[in-house]
Amino acid sequence: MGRRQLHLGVFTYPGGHHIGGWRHPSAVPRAILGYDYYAKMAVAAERGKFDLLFVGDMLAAREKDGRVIAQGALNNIDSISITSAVSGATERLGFVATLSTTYNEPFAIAERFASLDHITGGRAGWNIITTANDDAALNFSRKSHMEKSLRYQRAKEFVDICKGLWDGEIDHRGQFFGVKGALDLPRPPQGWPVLVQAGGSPAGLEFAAMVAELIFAAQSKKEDAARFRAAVKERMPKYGRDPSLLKVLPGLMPILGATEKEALDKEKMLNGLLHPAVGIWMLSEQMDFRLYDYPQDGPLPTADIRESGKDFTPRVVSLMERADREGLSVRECGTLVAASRSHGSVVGTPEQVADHMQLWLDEGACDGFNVMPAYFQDEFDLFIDQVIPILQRRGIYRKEYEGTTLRDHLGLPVPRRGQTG
Amino acid sequence: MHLLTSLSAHGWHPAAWRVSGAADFEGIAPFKAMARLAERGGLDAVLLGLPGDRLHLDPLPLLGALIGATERIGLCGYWSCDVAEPYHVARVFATLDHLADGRTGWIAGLAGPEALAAKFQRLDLPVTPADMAARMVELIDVARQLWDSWEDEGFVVDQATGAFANPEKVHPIDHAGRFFTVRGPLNVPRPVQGQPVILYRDAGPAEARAGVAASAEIVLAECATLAEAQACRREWQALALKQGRAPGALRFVVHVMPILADIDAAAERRAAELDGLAPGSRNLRFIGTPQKFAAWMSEWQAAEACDGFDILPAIGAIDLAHVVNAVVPELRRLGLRPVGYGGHSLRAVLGLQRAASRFAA
Repeated sequence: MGRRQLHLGVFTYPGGHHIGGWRHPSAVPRAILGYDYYAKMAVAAERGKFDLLFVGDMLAAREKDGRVIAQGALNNIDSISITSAVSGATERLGFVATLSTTYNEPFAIAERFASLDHITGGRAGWNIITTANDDAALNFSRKSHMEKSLRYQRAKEFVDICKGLWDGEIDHRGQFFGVKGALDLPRPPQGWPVLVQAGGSPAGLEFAAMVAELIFAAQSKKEDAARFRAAVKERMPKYGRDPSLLKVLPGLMPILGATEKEALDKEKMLNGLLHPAVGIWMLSEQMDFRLYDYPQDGPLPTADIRESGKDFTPRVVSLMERADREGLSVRECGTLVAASRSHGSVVGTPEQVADHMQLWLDEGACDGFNVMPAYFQDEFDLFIDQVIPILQRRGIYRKEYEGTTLRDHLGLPVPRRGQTG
Repeated sequence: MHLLTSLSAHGWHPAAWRVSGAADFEGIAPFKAMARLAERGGLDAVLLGLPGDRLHLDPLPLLGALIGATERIGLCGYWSCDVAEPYHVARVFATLDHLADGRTGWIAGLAGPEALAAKFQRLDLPVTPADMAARMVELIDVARQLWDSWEDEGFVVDQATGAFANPEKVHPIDHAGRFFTVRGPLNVPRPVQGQPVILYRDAGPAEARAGVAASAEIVLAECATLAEAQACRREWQALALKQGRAPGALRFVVHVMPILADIDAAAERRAAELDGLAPGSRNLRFIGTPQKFAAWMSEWQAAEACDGFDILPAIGAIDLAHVVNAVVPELRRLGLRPVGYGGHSLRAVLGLQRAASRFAA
């Protein structure tokens, strides 16, 4: 057995993952909706031998009371469109697109992902989400968002139907859906697209243990990440699944410099480009709690937030703990969240970034990372040109692709027909 | 004359997959090859996902994958309205239109309850033709409102000031109708074309026509005879005028399946051979030489039976090649087709106006 290997994804974002990133002088924000912006990213990722390119999904504008947030109004545009479009510019790179089980129908989504897997020659993955933001309901003729535990019950039934359709003909009648028939397509090259899950609330964690082969995690501390990874793996056997067939990739925003000081200066510059209003909006959305009427420079009202009784994600819980501990203001918390979209961040030289990644890998905190460049394209190119060679030299990252499918890259087997786990 | 072609894995004759010489299923390769061939012939657009192909790749990722494989030709995808949600339709087509730099069109239509009942067993969907039609008309209207929800000036991205969007130019639509309640705004800025071109597959209930005539820019119709096409086109044009649209705003395009060869007898032989394997189901076919096909098309156009054709090649690799290599040059000689693409966006190629946002002052 060789050393454990890192698996890497690149998370696309219109502008960059640092919410001020689109204002970086090297960014070309007019271009962030065009084909070239995404194709360049995919070609670069393949040059860096990445496992996959990932695109998220949101079903409502970033807005407050009907007005878009002027300083940062955009989240991901449609993920199936982006991944299918840039797949032709690459030969090996995998593609993970995100679609919600709460606002779609299983037959259509099974067909869409089977098609994406055929079109990409076995390089597709589906990030299964239940959609966390309440605003989406208002765009889909519903008065309110479906309650969380129901959402996950629906997601489970939804995914079971999709698996059945990828395997052949079904006649299903369940709590949420009735579906009879088969896709007009051969079985996808990978059997099923790689099943991906993101988010780590208690309901989400149980769902991940049931279905996920790959998790995009959000822990920013190594110990939390290791605990989370262990917790999911621990639950897998109870669903008849082999824990070794799960890869966990936390998000990571690297900010690189030739020296540590240069990297810190870059971070400071990016934070200076970030408007506090975006941070406070993002914080309000994540906590599902309106912070707009609290004084920006006053402390984060953690008591009021806890009292709202929501089912907080681990990243919200850990942010509140940190705010209490360090006496952070609303504005400071907003900046923290907006800077890396509340995922992990590492600022330093290429060696330091590689050290960080290796440490997390060695200590069982992850199987790799979903890399979230602060801005595109330059910061991503820096990572590929300067960090990747170090990881390769250390023997913890591939020098060449060994297979052709996303399952090959991740070391995941093609599911047997009718496999339940 | 508008010239479109529907893509399929092997061809539109039911026997095509048995005689094309290609493997049963080759993924996207034949679609890319056909789209490039059509582009070489200067066709206006390819149509993706229309029912009738033996295997069915989802037209949305298929359309996406053709963006990088082509440069000028329009890319239109069928997304039936039976189950669809307007926010999804608007979001996906806005994204595709940005990625394709304004070359996309949405083909709306109804698959009908027979096709969908088993796959989508939902009790909340309309079942009568009138209700299905009403839901579709509302869906198209809401999708168009969502494309308009960002005015052109909404997407600011001024690095110096940090203004990403101008909230004065991005609007909630607050739509509350019989079938849909949608707040908006869309979370994709206004498409390159303002709105993607709206095509309509006229195979659903007749009740839909009056409402669809308010928005459809290209109607795709099955007609068995020239007289039927003339009557159908007149009806659509009258409905569009009644909806207050300018004359010529709605184009009527007829599906036709050509079976072509260099001499008539060879074309007849091909048709007989194909029909012997599986009876051809299309209402409207043309069997003969490319020159005669061009003359036949020109007659239909002159008789005001249509404004163009959707070519359904009996066998993709053979009949589309004949169209590109021999029919198009003949149509150009007759002055019915331009050389090269007349504009950058699909709207420009088709001579359609770019719609202003309804929210623009």
